[in-house]
Amino acid sequence: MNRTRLYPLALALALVAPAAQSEGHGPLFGLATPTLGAGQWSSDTGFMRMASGHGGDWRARQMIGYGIHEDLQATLTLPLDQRDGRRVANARGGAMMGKPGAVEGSLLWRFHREAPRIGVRRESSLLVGAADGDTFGPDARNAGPALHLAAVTGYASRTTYWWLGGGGQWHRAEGGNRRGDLTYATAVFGWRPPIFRGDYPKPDWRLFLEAVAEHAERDRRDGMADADSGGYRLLAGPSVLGLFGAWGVSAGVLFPVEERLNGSQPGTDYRAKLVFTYWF
Amino acid sequence: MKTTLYAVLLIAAMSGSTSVHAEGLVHARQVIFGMDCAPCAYGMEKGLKALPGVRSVTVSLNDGYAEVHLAPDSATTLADIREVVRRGGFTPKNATITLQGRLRLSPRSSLSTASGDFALNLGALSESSAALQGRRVQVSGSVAADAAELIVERIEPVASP
Repeated sequence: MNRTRLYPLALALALVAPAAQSEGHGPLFGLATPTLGAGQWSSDTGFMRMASGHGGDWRARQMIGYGIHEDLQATLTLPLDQRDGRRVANARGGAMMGKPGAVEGSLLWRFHREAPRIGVRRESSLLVGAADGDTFGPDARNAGPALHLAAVTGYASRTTYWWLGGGGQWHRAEGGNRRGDLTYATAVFGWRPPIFRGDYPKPDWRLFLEAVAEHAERDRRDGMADADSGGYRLLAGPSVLGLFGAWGVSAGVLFPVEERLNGSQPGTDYRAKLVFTYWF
Repeated sequence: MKTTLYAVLLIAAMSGSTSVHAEGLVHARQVIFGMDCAPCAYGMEKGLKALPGVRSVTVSLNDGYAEVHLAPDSATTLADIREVVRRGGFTPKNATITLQGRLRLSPRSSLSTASGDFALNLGALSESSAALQGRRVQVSGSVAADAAELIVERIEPVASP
């Protein structure tokens, strides 16, 4: 896929969205439940580095979100750029933004929502997505189309947040090649420091502690399992989210807590991410 | 002389036909459950400001409400405000509102406005309101979360234009 052509498309999508309202935002790496209000648009531009003992890769992705209904949101995520991706780990670059080279469309359905009092919300969501265009292996083989399913439940308030979720991504085989199945679980705890509990329109900052556990099956290349692929990772780390009216910025990093990787794969040094968000 | 008189009468007639008086919702303080963050409030503020006739909107996250002041003869109703809250993904609860319109006491108490009739529960004010039958009044009170009836706490006559 020629990513150069995707820059103007992503920019155009971000610019032509009609005036609408905005909704809350959540963690960087883990699954979350908030959906856009009906008729609302959002734009997320994310930059991520996955560093390992062999160097690592950079990736940039653009996500456009639209609220079909206050409990149903559609998103389209496009790759903007990727560097040194020959040995990219089989992992989603943040549960909501997909794998590095893929174009991904998703629906997020908030099927459960309770608002028991002022400033408090409990909710649960299901996510279904389809992706294509990703590559894998040192020779950048076509990973084929993939199905992504996930579920998440959580709590949001003026003081604390938490979300627990999990999902999986399954690729279709393409001529003897198949990206290994990926299953994952995420946990997020968030805290709004007292100094940032001032009322709107004062700036709103939150701190998160995020954890991601991933298991990937071995890739298959020319019908043979790739010994240097797949394995298990548990990563955790902090992130921070700042919100100013229609703008948001979030940054965070995950470090490995435990890794059991197949073959001679390098261990993870860290995953770092920076995202800029705008609600139209 | 006659030309001047005609001009004065014409100006007087035009002034009468274009005078604006408030009839409908003039103020609402809608309690909202579920708003936790700045973009929630920002979106609510934008959505409410987009309603016809809205002059100002104040949103509070910590106290959980949106306060709306409306221009005279605004077509916006409390139902419109609550729909904006729902479409934002939040839950509208009780509201405190102020309405202006003509008081009707039979067959049941209601306020007749440009946007339609609004059911009133006058309670202890029923007796003192009898003298205001058919007159333009301003009523203030509360409306429960899933109700459309205004529990009146205050009623006073409004001078006609």
